[in-house]
Amino acid sequence: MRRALAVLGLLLVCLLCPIGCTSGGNCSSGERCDCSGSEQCFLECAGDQCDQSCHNTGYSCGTVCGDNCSSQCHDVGNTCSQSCGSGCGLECSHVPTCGVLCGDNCHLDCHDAELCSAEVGSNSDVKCQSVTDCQVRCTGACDVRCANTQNCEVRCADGANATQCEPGRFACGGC
Amino acid sequence: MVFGVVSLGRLFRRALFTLSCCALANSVAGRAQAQSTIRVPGQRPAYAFELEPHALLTPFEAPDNPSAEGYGLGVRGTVELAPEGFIPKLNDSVGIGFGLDWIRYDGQGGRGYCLRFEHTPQGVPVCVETSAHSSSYVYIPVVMQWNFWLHRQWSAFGEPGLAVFYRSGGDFGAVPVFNVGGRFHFNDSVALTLRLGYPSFSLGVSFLF
Repeated sequence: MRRALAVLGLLLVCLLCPIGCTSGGNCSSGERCDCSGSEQCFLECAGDQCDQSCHNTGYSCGTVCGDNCSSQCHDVGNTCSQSCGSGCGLECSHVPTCGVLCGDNCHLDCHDAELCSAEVGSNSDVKCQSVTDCQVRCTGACDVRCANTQNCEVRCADGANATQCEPGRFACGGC
Repeated sequence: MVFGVVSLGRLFRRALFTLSCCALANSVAGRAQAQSTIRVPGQRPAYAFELEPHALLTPFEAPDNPSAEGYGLGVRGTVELAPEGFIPKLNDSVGIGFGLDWIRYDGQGGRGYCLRFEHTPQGVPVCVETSAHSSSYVYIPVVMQWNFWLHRQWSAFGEPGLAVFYRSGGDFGAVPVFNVGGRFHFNDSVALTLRLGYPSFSLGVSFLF
């Protein structure tokens, strides 16, 4: 019996060693963190100024952050989800659907996707490139540029279509 | 499960906890050898139902969710099905156990599953809150409890089974359960019960009716 219990104890020690391990940063305020490889993963910054990267997941990948963050989401099976406060720089690419909610002074680069659907705050700029459908709603002044995009639809805070400044470039609050 | 660097403090706490459990188990074995009842079928507390409220601790990640350790509370009820057990010459018995366990897991590495989505004007879901900081799970385990009555004051058991879980945010799932445990019997009706295994460890008081 003692021998059996000793073996059991040894097994437990071996079992516990790798538990709880992680890699790719811890998403503390101001730090970089990374997630990839599973069916889905969501990263959340514990504050502001994180540098987040979510990529190569089977179905969905997402980042959540406060202000002044940067976030990349790419090579995901279905949806990239990015939400951020103000002053963020976001990139979404190589995914069927990009969904983005961000605050003021947002800089969004959306490329190589079927749908890029975003709501951005005042003084934001959005770039859609090689996107089938680019749909942007601006809650304040914004500048949206579409290149190699089949449908580029930009609406302003009042629900009206944005002003077309030049081919492929739209703005709310004046060109 | 994601592998990488684990802090020395966390590793030390786990090792200490594991060694404590092993020492306790070893002590159980030592005492059991002195006045063994394992070869005397029937020499044990007579009961039909065991009720065991317990505290829970787990070093394991939450199912399908990167997380740190968890802790919680729960209760287990076990109905005795086969008082004679599986082995005629051994003092064993078999029951079926049902439980309800709540475990709160700490977040780890800022990763988790999505707790709350908002939608873009086109209806695309965007995650705005995750379980990266903490998550809560409710487990409903169903297990077979195979008891070995080692000594007048000590018994041990193994518990294979399955647990359905519900986690904060609205998802359901299932995980296998495997525990080994031991009881220190204060008398024929009350025992201190320690359980080690997956998905969690527990320490509780068993009331035998």
